[in-house]
Parts: sequence; C-alpha cells; structure tokens
Amino acid sequence: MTAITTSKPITRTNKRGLRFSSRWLIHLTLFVLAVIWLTPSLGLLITSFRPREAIASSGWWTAFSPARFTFENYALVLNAQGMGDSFLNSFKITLPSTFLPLFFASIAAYALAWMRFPGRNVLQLLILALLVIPIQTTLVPVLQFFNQFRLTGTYIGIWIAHTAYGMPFSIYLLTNFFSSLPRELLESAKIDGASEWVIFARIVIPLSVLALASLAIFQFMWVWNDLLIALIFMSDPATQPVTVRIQALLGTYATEWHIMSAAAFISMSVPLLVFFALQRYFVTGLTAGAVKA
Amino acid sequence: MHKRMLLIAILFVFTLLAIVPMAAAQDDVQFVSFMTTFGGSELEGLRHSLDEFTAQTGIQVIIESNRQLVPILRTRLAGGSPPDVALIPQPGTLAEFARAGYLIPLVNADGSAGLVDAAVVSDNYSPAIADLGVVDGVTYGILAKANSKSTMWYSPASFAELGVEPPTTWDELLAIQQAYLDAGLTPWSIGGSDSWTLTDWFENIYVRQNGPEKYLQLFATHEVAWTDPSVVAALEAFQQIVDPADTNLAGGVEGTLSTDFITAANMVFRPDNEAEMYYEGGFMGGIISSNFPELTPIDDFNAFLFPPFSEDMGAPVVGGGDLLAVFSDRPEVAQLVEWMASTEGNTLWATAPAGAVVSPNMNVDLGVYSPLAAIDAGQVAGASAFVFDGSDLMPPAASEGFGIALQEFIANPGDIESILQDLEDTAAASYSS
Repeated sequence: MTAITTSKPITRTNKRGLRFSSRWLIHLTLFVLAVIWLTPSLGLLITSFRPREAIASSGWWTAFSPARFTFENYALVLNAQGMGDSFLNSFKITLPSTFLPLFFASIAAYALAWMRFPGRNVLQLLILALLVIPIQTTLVPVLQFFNQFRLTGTYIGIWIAHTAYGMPFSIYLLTNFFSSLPRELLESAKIDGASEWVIFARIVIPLSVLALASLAIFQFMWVWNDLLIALIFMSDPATQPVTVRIQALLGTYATEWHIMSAAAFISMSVPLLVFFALQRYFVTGLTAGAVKA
Repeated sequence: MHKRMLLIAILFVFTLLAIVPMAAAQDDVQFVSFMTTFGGSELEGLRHSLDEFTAQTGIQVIIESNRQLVPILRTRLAGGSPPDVALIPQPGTLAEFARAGYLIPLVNADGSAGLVDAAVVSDNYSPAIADLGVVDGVTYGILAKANSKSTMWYSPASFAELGVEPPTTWDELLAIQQAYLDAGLTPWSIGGSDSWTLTDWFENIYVRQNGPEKYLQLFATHEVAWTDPSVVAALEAFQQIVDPADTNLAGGVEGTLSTDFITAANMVFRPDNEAEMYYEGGFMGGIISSNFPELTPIDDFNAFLFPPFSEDMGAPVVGGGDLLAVFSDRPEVAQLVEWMASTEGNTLWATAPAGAVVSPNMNVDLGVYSPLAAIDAGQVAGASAFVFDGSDLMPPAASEGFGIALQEFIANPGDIESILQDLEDTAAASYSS
C-alpha cells in the first residue's frame, strides 16, 4: 500500500502528422460508437411519441413519412393511478440507499487504506470476494432474515438491502482511491496532532469529492433502475417504486409498446438529470482508484 | 463539515419518513394480498370485480402485479413471505407447490370442506374445469379465467374476395390455403421467434387427431413418447401448413423464426398486409383491436375454431388460464376465494368496461360478453373438452426443448425423425427427475 507520489508528465509524440491522424481516428471511432449506442435509444424516443396503431404498423425509422406524433403515451403513463406516489417512493428508496453506502464505505475504506490493524488484508480480500457473489443467490436468505425482524416491506429493510449490496464495490473503489492520496499530507496532519477522525473528515473526504460523486452516480442509477430487489422486498403497492409501477402498466403479454417506450423515458429522466448535473465529477472521477498516480 | 451535517440531517429525515407511516398502518382493516401477472387494462378488469368485493365485505385486496410471477413467487415462498393468494398461470406449477405443502386445500379429497365448501366449486364449475385445479384428489386451485387457444384469425374481406367461407374441417382449411397460393398470396403469418406459438399449433393438431386422453399422456405424464407415430402424424399435418415456407409463410423460414407473435398478427391486419391468416389464442382479439382501432371486430377481423380432423374426435379446445391458489388459511381469504368463484364476482369481471375476461364459471351468461370476447367465451363454453396448453403441463426443460424442436422443424421440415428423437431424449431426462 505504498503510494508513489511523484507522477511523471506523459511524454507526447512530437511528430505532428502521427498525432493528427491518431486523433482523427479516435474521433471517428468515438463518433461511430456513439451512433451505435444512441440508435436504439433514439428509436425508443421516436417510438414513445408515436400513436399505438402506428407502432404496430411500421418501424420507427419510417415515423417521419408521414409524420404522426402524439403526447398521448406520456399522458397515459403520467396519469396512471399511483404514478406520482411511486415517483416519491423511488426517491425515498434511492436517496438513503445512495448516501448510506457512501457514508459507511468511505469510513471503511479509510480504515483499510490508512490504518494498520491485524487481519486487514484478509478483510480486504473478503470484501473483494463479495463482489463476485450474484445478488440473486442472496434473496431467499435475506428475505428469511428480514421476515424475522419484520423488515420485509419497510423502507428501512430495502435501505439495508441496497446498502449492503452496494458496499463491496464502494469500499473497493474508495480504498484504492484513498490509498492513492499523498502519504505526506496525512503524516503531517498526524504530526500536528490530528486524530484519525479529523484526518478522515478534514483531509481525506475533501480530497475525494470526485471519487465520492462518481460513486454516488453509480449507486443512484443502480438503485433507481432496480426492479428485482423492489419486487422481492416491497410487496405493498403503496410503497413500490416507479420501476415496479411501470411494469404493472403492462399486460400479461406486454403488448403495450407505446406505454413501455414512454414509461422508459419518464423513468430515465431522473438518472439523466442526476448524470448531467454531476457529469463534471463523473468524467474526472471515472478513473478513481484505477491507477495510483 | 457542513456537508456531512447536511448528509446526516437528510438521513434523519428519511428515517422518520419511513418509520412514521409504519406506525400509522396498525389499524383494524383486514387485508388480503393478491399476486397476479395482470397489468394495465387486465388489472382494471380484475379491480372492477374486487372493488365490489371490498364494498360488500370491507376487506381490502392489495394487488401485487408482476410480470415474472413464478420465479418471484418461488423466492417469496422460500423466503417465507408469500402473498395470501396468487393467480398461477401453469397447472404444473400449482401441482408442484401443492406437493411441496405450500398450498391450502380448498376442498379435501373426501369432498369435505377445506378452506371453502365443496359446493363453492361444484355449483360454479363444470367437472372438466374443476378438475384442472385438482392435485392428487385434493382441490388446490380454481380456474379463475380461461382463454381459448383454438382461434384462427382472418380478415372476412379477404375471405370474401377469395370466395371462401370459414373452414369446418382440416381439409377445407388446406383448400383455402391452396386458393390463396393460387391467387399469388401468402396464406400464413407465424410468429415463430416466440416458440410457444409453434407449440400451440402442434397442441391443437395433436388433440384433434388423438383426443384429450392421449394428449395428457403425451404432455402431462409422458406415457406416450415423442417418437410415437401419433406425434409424427401430427407433425406431418403441421408440415402441410409450413412447408414450403417460402410460399406458405410470410417471410419464409428466416422471417418466421425472427418474427414475434404480435408482429406476426400485425402483418395480417396492417394496411399493406403481407399474409392472410394467423393462428393464436383468443387474447389476440384484444391486441389486434387496440393495435388497429380503425378495424371493427367481427366485420374487419374475425376468428374461427381451429378446424377438426375427424368427426369422432371433434374439436377439443386447447386453452390457457390462471388458477387461483391460496397460501394463507384465514377467514377473509376464504371470503375472497368464495367471491372469485361466485357468479356475481365472475359476471362483474366478465363485464368490466376495460380488461373483461372470459370466465369459466358456468353460470355466467354468454350474453354479457362483447362480440370479441364472445368468440373466446363461446369456444370455452361450447368446448367438447377443454385441455390446458400442453407446454405448460410439461416440466420446464422439456417444454423449452419442445419449442426449440418446433423451431428446428420450421427450418428443416424434412428432419422429423431426428428432431423428435432429440426431443424425446430431453423429455425422458426431465420427466423422470
């Protein structure tokens, strides 16, 4: 866990031609990738504004000849019974389930990165091992456990579930990031008499805003888009999030493509807003913990 | 740090938000939780009946709708928090849950009252329908809604132009197919990427050639092997429809195997249609009319009964449905079961303004249905015999193999023997375990 503190500036090639062509290649690749990734979403977006019979008759790429668009699909979804409440439920579930793992994981990661105690490596390995356990295999034992403590169907229960499921990755990411912080900073704080808690709160956290923010985006999107855990643990329709409410709008055979496409965009809007609001952190924080600079 | 204080404050507020409603919910209203795959208008239809139940009894019904009912239910059962009642779409799953001891007997094997009196079932359902919910002599389920899967959809205008009437025998059907081919048109559209559309075709042929008893021996008990001559004969009949695919099926082999069942129906009823006839269950009526609101049911699209092969076997109806199963032994749950079986509850469900269903309850008057639902209801009520969708009666692995085998058959209709041998190997392994 020794951090190398001096980073060498990356040497750039001096041949202008090579640099130009490689950059051009990168841009072209990026453009092609962006088009490939965006086309299905674009198709979904166009579909969501088409009347049901048009969706059934022809593909979305023919939507402009003749152009027939409607807001009716969105109105249908937004006016569906309980939709407003389920949005509120989604926030009630997602916000604590985003901040709780962030809070606990940062404390744990600090200890794993900077404090010396017996069994630290074993503990770290154990957390890493938890990353590979599929959530699905834990549903039944967790449900039995929750039933015993009457946590099934409560917000506290689902917060605990999401927090627990989110912790291994959060700890892993933050431990790597924290141990990349300059050792001198922490040592000098110690010499000045700062306690571990003060070092954590005054030095480590402010230096790690980027990593924390990108982690928050990850966790937020994961919890917001979750359907499985909500289906298992939140059985009462009054407490169910948007994802569960939307699938209840579809019939047994899921033939309501107009509802599905509009609902998908409504549900996507919140994570998109969060992403755009925190995009600055996300791009810089993406490589957090990946390399020790 | 201010940020951390803010964070803690947010956490505190949300904890309160969660705890306060929990404390408030402790009052004397009785609740029954009800799990189903129904959503959208189907859910509204069910609600139409259950709202009246709540109005009469004061018992609240909490409906949990999810689209993956069986896996979710399995998890919830294993975890110890099942709903009070559930509508299970497969009799095989009902039997599995019953034998695992998860279900409350509705009527005992000796006819004595379980959760409800025997009369609740026998007064409302014909023996053929009531039997579908019986496992090892004990009634564990009630068929709450039924659908015919023996409906062939066509456009009356197209039939009129060709100068034909809906067929009443298999040979007449083949004659219509030939007439379309002669006119340079494509007779069929099949959504073979959803393999269950193919298994439904096969099941209808098989039960018409061999009768309900042998049908159950093939699908439910596997006493008849997949290599049996009767299976080969049924596939050869299906081959008359799908081979050669290039002329008979819209899109040929490739198109058929990459088209889902909804698109396949759309291909028959969209303005520049690519095919003339489509076979899938009665539920297609609702889908077609909502996808094409300008079409009038009966006049612009209609269905006839999957035609019989011979007079003595007749045309048993292959159907699907949902079985009401009960996980909690409480008086308010019994009241709900009685309501779900009653003529009043079923009539309300069958006449809901949106999401009306075909009720298998024999006391529901056929006159209450819309023209579209009447096609379906008429087939269910008038069925000489009613058999459940065969692929739902098979163990999951065999059922999956069955679908894949028929997709292979569409691609290589000449390989009947090797395809059936492979399927028999899969089936032999999964039925014995």
